[in-house]
Amino acid sequence: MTGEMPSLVLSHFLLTGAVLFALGLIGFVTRRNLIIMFLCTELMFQGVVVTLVAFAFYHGNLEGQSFVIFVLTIAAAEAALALALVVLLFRRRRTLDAAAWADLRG
Amino acid sequence: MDLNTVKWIPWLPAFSAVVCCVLCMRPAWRRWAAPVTVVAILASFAIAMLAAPQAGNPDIRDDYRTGAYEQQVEGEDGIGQTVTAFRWIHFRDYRNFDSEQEARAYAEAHPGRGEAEPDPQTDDWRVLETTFRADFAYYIDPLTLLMLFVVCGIGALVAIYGAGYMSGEKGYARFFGAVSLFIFAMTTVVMADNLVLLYLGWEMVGLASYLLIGYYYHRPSAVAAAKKAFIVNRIGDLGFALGIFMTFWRYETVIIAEVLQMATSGEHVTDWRDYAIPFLLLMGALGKSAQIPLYMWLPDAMEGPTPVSALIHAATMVTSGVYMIARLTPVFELSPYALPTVATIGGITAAFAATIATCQYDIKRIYAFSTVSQLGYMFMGVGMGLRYAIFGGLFHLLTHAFFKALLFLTSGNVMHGLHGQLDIRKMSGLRKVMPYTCWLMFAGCLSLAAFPFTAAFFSKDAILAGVFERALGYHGTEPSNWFFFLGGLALATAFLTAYYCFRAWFRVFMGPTEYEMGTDHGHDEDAAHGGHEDAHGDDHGHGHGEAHEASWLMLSPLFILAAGALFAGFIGYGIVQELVWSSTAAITMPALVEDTSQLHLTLMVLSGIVAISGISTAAWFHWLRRDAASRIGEKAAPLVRLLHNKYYIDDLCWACIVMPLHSLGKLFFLIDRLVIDGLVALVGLVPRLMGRSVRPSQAGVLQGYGVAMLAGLAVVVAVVMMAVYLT
Repeated sequence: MTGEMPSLVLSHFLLTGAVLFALGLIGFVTRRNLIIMFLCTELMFQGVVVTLVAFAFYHGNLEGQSFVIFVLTIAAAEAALALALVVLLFRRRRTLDAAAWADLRG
Repeated sequence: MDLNTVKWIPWLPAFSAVVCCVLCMRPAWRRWAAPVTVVAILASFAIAMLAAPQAGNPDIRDDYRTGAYEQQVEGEDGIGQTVTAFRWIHFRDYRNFDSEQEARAYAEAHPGRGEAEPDPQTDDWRVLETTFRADFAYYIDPLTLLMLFVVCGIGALVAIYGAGYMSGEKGYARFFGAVSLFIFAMTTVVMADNLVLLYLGWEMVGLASYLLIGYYYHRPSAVAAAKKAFIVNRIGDLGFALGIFMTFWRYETVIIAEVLQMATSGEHVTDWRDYAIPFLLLMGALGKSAQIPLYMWLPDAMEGPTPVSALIHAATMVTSGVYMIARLTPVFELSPYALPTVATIGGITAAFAATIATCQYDIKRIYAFSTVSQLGYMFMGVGMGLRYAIFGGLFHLLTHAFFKALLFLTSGNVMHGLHGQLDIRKMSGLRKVMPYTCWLMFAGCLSLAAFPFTAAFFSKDAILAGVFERALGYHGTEPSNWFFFLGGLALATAFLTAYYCFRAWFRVFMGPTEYEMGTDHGHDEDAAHGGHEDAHGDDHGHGHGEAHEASWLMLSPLFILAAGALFAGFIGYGIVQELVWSSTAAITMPALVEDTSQLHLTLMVLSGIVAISGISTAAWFHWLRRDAASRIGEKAAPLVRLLHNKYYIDDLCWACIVMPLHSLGKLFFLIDRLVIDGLVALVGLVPRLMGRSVRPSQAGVLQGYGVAMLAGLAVVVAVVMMAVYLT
């Protein structure tokens, strides 16, 4: 099963991961809504995960894939936590604008 | 009673001091502080009187007394005995010898120092010996016994008086704690077997004195007086400490008995250190005993409660300088100028302080200067180097303790009765209001004035006789004009003494009954003291505006003191003479050669006449013809002002010593603020400026941080890529 994919090679997967990461990064830098920013970080995360799976597949071992399972589990927990934080932040300032939180400005 | 029990004499009051500290904790417990203290001091007194006389070998006392004693065995002076309470400081070191014989000979010659043994590293022999030894050990000899009688006896009486006088005060238990501490310290001073322990006690009495002068710590003048006493004493104690160091350097021991033995053994070759030691030790004595030039603290010390003035600043602590000189007389004798210096300072201080006392208006200040003056007499006595003189000096110490404690405590009664009034211009004819106090103070004044056959008459006469024996060259001394002058000065001082003490008495108790109450109405009126120049009254009062006699608790110890002031001369003369002459104090003094009873008789008559004429002068000007006194006072106003302001010595000291030091302190403060603090601020400034330059990068915008992270990542990736492609 190794390497028998003439139309779909490693670089396609890597490109997909890179595109996902870049989209997330652009979204994170340009948007100010906390939820969107959080979703963008998730997007970057997924980009990295896709890259990881692609390399695991390419090398023909299961370590990368099992690692990805763990990462997704942790990411789910972290997403719950982060959304709860966003809700709290929203309750404090009645807005989702990240610019409302600039108290530590030097 | 076993001699070993004397080790408890200092520790009973020490225990009582601790108990008093515990009693401070609950208001209900505080009144027990007085009984605890009194019982502890009385117990010490009982031990001192029962156990201490057993010390020493009675068979040799006669030889000692007459100067015929010759030391036969080294390590034994026979007259005193050492009781060790516990080990304290020991240093041990090896002394090396070239041969076995030398080491064995040394070990045999100095028993108790150690055994001769070979040095394992070299071929030498060595002896492990204690090179420095200072234990909590007590040396008991007749001189110690005399001092213990004064310290514990007067201490107990004053503590009983204080129980009444201090009742209702805020720091009742604190007062008795400090008094107990003082008795602990003072008994340590007089019983110390070595100079280091003596110095420890010496500093502890200074501490107790400081605590008690500053007893009314809410009053700025009391705090200032306490600090003054402490600082002036530090100056003297510096000399004392150096003297002890040099004594150890010279004699290789600080144990007093050993030092005295070496000083008196004929083999001692004097060198320059023997000339320096007495003067250094004298500095300590001048500070503690308030002699010129370190006398200024004593009059100010009257800020303390009156029982403290009586006990510490009149009867006991201030005599420790006299005691120390008497104890170390053989060391002083090694320098030909030391004892004459002591006598000269004493004589001049006596006259100087007596003149100031004649123009003071505050009773306690009059008695304070009188104390300085009488201490000068004692210095003159111990500084004469003759048997009668040193006996007189130490006998005067005893009688002075009686009559001066009596005078202070009776003036305390006056102050107590008049709510802190001390100014003799504002009281008159109090004999009807407080009859007991009146006649008790009369007894004290008679004794201070050396009225014939009172206690001080005998002691003062013994000093005068000693001075004139020295001046006329009896007992193998050289006749000396200077000592003749000092004797004359002492007689003139005796006249002034009789005058100033009866001036106060006639002013206060005789004449028409008029008085003005003091400003102390109750315990809460602390503000009334501030700024009032003469207000060193104690916080006393019972709310009603009439003078009253003191309570019986306060009066009863005064009767004992009065009996001592009047009759101690008859009772004590022979006993004290025996004690002093059979102690080490008189051991180096020449034996009595000539019969000087004629001289003594002449001086007795002379000093009797002087005393009576002084009293009559005071009676004339301050009882019968007060208007004449004020006329003369107006005519001699500059002189009166000079004397009232104590020759402006205090102001001179302020201008010449305190102010320059103050300015120096301000200069140092400025240097600290500008230079030192400036450097510190500079060190802080550099990181702060660095921080300011990068602070704007923390914009607080989340996206900005994202971009920065991206940029950082890009740089890392670029570096890695370059590294990969370039290799």
